[in-house]
Amino acid sequence: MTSLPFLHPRLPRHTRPGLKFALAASAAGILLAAISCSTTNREAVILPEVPGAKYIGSSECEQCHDEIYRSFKTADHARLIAQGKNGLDAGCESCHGPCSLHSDSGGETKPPFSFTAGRPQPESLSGRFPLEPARAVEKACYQCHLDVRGQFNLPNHHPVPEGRMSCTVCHPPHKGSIYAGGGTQLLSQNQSCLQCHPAQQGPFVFEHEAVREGCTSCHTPHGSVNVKLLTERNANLCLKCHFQQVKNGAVLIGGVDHTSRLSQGACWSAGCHEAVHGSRVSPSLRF
Amino acid sequence: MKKKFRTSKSVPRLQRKPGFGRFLLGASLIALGAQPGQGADALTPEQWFEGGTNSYSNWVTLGVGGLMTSGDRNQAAQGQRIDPGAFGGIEDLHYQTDVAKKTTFTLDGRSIFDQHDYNVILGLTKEDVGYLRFGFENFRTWDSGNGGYIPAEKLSYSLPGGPQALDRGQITFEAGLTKKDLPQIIFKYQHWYRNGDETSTLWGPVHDPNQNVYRVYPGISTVDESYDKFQLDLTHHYKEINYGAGVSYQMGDLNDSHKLTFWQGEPTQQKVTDRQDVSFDTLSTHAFAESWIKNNLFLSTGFMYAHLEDTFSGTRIYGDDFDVAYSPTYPGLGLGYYNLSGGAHQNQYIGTVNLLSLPSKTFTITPSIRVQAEDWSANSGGTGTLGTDTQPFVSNSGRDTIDVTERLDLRYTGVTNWVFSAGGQWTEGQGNLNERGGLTQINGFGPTPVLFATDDERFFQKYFANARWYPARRASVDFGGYYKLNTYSYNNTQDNTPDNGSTGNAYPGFIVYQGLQTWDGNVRLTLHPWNRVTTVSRYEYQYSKIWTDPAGASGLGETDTSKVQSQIIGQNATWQPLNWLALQAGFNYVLSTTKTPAQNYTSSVLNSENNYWTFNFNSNFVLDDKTDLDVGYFYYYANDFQIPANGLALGGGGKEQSVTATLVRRITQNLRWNLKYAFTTYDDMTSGGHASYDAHLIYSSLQYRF
Repeated sequence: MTSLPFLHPRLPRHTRPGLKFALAASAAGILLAAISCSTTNREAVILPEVPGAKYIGSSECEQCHDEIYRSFKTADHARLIAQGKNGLDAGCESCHGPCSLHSDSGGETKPPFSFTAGRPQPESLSGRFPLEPARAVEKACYQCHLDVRGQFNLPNHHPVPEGRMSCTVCHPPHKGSIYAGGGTQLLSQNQSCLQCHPAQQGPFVFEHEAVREGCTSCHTPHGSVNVKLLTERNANLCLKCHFQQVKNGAVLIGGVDHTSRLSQGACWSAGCHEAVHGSRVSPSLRF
Repeated sequence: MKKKFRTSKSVPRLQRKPGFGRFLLGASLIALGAQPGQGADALTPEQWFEGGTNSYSNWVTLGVGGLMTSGDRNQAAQGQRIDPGAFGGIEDLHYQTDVAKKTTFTLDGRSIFDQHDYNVILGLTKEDVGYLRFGFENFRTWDSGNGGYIPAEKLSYSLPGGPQALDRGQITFEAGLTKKDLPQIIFKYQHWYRNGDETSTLWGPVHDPNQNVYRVYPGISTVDESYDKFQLDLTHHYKEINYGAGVSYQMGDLNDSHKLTFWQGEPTQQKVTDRQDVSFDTLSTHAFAESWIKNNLFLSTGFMYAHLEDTFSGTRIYGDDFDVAYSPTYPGLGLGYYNLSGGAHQNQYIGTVNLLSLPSKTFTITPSIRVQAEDWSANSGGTGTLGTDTQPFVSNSGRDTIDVTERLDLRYTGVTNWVFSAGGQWTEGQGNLNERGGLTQINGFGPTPVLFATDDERFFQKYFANARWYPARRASVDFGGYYKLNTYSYNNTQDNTPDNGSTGNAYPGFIVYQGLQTWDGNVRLTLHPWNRVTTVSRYEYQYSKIWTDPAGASGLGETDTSKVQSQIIGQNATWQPLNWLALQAGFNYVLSTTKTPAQNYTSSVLNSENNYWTFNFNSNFVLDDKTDLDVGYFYYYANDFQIPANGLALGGGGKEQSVTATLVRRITQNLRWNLKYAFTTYDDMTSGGHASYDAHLIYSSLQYRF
């Protein structure tokens, strides 16, 4: 067992980056120093706040966007809108930013978050590496949904920060439920997932009942510390539903002694129940 | 194409002499709490973006760069979603022009070579008439090829070679007729695909030096999936009613396989390929009608019918290599099968009615109902294998269900600066399931076929309430929460697998009741305590419990099978201390634990911890009229990998830090140069450090606007 070709003993961690961090910070400082003096008319901006733009209230939007405004009454996000002056900026401008310039120009000047091509995008609120697409939508959502921002910053996430997906694919903002399926809508909750994961739709000869509860029984949709967006990475993913007790010193799962098997890995990765989404050959989802 | 935008005169122009000296001065002013500078006219957003008084509608951005790594190169590709090495191409392209009266042609694109990152969208729109749109998109993700880690011997496993790569993409064509007063017709065609290899969480067994068996050798998922979808939607507004109808037809092929290596490097090494090929067709039709019957009454109804048919084949074959044919003389080390064939069909009927009513200007009530009936059946047959022995098997199953979901949403805004919302959702469901057959025992090995019938009842409840208060302009407080209880009851009318554990297979008719309960509460506070300062704080607490009651014959009682407790803390702050400096920082801290009774019984499984930190900081310096500098820092930490006394390290344990610096220089009015540098270091604790890496990214782009 000592000569397996791809089996390595624990290696010492390669050179640690303290010095490299210092170098990187120094580089940033040098860049600052390298900039020559000149007069500027520009300001630093953190969207959605832009110089000169003021909040005007959602009712102003109705003048041109009457259809969207009317539909928005049915939207989950309509509950942002309150009577009174304090909440003037809540509603359309919660996501699109202050729209006075947009309104004053008759629509020619786009709102800060217009979600159309060519708009300025901030580096702020960004995630991990700086190769983000220029037309990201999600930053507007991150303003309020901090927990979701954190999830998309995890090592395993749907490719929203990379611009391959958009929040609005699963969360239509302008009408009805904020979820693309589920509740009392025509589409069921799982349909959103099956658009891109058709292999999991079945029907299988032997189904896994957990799928009835929804994909989110085992997968967290935005991001996870675990691979495959799993809610748990070890046997607890299965054990949280599957019955376990001790009888005569044996750990029973589904009434069957699993004592020795639990040490070999998680229930599916250990090779005993590979067909986690359903099986066409095995009632116990063996494979 | 060149547009000139009006200049707002509402904000004074900033006049200053920046540079490094100004940077130091600014830092001093920040320390002294100085107010942002005041100047003359400000710029519109477009002008701000352009760095001048003109705006351009078209642009092309060309970029080139490289990712250099040390440590686990493949993990770097997976984690950063960039294949190490040089890359470049068209980062972003937008071109639009009027080709005829009220007719606009648009072209958008992206093409980064060596990252398999391509995107092109062509559009032709004639105002008030219709549009044509064509699109192609492909992008690639990478997997490390890493498997498990045995902490006792500090051994980890990974596949040889570069990272595994999976391409995703689609080709689309869309045509729409949007002429006013006529029915709007939209036709869409989509060819969707996903193919390549990715690292599986199914692992192959190995012996460690002490001859203990662990499943740790990385498996491969080979994916070859595609479908074609044709969709026709028609909507029409007639006499205050929106009518709509649509039909879609989807046909696809899913040719996927898992490839596992058993006993890697040992004399008994074998390769296992588990392959299933599925062809499916789905026909779906829907119709809806919606109308504001009165100014305060909105009614919508919908109906959908979907039918799915599929056929499949498959094998699970042991051999000296992957993807070999079944050999009746090869001594496979486990259960397998070949000649699998079968099919399934499914019908789904769904109807919905929603009624939104505003009995007063401040009160909204929305009752809704959804009814879904579904039936499906499936069958399969093939030949099971164990070594050189074979045994034919057949199986079939069927299920019918009906679910009725009612929902009630309430919203009240009658208190100035307050919004209250609440509601509930209930689902009552019934169904039955019949399962027969499955792989048969071979030489007394493996589970026996099942003969099983059950009737089930489901009752789901969810109640939610939220309040939002605006105590001052630009400040808000949100309180909210929900309670959810889903219960499943099973009446197993036929079950050939004794529930007393005498045969080693109690499922499927083992559980007679299961309940899933969740409590959630959250609060969010948004403040603008000072001019140009915004803070958002959020806290959420969630507690879930699942409890299970097995069949009486088991002699076991009802048990809480899991308890999940999560606390999520999020904070964000933005501050523009000076006109030429913007700062933003945020963090998320999550504590999440899944407890099952297993930890009390065995040293092999520990409670799951999904705790993590993320922190990000960004700063934007406007150095002069033409130059911006963004500097950022990112931190992620999770220390959740579990090291049980007798088991595998599983979970997410890692620390990542990144620093980024981006310099943007507007060389001319329409030429912009962008230089980015980033350094990231990732320490992977779950793998004992084997999957750790450092990475440097240098990327430069040039944007030309016209």
